[in-house]
Amino acid sequence: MNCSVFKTMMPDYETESLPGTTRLKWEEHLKSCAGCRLEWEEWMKTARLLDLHEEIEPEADFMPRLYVKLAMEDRKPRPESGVLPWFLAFPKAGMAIAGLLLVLGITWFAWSGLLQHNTPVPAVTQAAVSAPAAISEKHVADLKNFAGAGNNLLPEKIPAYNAEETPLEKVFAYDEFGNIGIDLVGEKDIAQLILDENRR
Amino acid sequence: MDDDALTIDRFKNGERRAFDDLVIKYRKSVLNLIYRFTGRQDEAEDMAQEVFIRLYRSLKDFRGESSFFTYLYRVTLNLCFQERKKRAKAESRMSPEEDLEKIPSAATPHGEAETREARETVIKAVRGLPPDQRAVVILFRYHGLPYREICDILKIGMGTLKSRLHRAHASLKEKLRPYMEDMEIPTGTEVDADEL
Ligand SMILES: [Zn+2]
Repeated sequence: MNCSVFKTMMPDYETESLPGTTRLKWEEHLKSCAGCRLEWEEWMKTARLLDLHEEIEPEADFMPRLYVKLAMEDRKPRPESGVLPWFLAFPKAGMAIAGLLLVLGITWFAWSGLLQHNTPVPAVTQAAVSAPAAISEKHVADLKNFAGAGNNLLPEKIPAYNAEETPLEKVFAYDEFGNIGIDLVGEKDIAQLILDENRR
Repeated sequence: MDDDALTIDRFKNGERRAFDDLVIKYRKSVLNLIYRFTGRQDEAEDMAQEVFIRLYRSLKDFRGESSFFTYLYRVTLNLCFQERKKRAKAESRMSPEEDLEKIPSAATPHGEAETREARETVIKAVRGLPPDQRAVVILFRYHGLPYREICDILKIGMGTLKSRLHRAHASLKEKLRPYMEDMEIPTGTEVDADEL
């Protein structure tokens, strides 16, 4: 075995995937060639140093955050059946309707904002709002997006919060005004609730 | 039909839980593939979520021409390549100090400054590899995938794979050389030191 063949086989030797006779030849070369011994030593040292790039764990709220995004995904109109083809066919009418919807939307948004501020905040909400810093900015941003997509996270639709069953760190949902916490009995249930709401 | 294919069938038949099962099974692999590629823990989490959203959109059209695992890794690396292009400009404007701040602090009790420094150097060295070499070295070194699967994921031949792996290792070796001096001779070789 020559030196360049030896070097190309280093990863194969490392993963123990060399066939028996080749492995023996490789090892013989290792014993007899100082240059390749150094190459191999550095190969393995590099491998060992690379182990310092340690694995990380998904954050505890990985699933609930994904569920919220998937719920938003479910709400998006399908391109083939949505308004886009119609809009492209009748652009002027589409623009007019879009403008009207925008005005209605802004009116509704302002009106519902006033309404929300006049609604007494239930205990579950207060608990969530005063939750410790474990509720990240990501939660808030996600939920703002979610609420902004037209969802209506009404407190009366939320099951009773049980702090013993679900620690506050798991409470993660807010409405666009930042004053409604939903949540509940485990990450799965949070998402299911949102999905069920969307399908209604 | 393997487990994943059965799970995908369940999803195609309208069973939403099947998708959750795939996410739960693969989220950690996807997250770490991205983390090793970008070197950024804060971004990896959001990018992993984006992978599963893309998967959610595309899974109905998955025909099973490759294994699901291969497909998922391909989706993940495509996102990594796209993000890299998007960030290339931003990174070139970033000062080295800012760049270093993005490296997460050690999650394990390797408290010593030297180890921490070595670790940061490793993360930067991996991140500094050209993307095609980086993908190969990550799949080989951290995911322990056999050559055949790496070739499938990256759609490259065996020769290309091996040469990328060697070039990647060679440049990592140069960057990590300062930390090699005090290391013991690695175990794992069948050769006894006395025989040498
Ligand atoms: Zn040699």
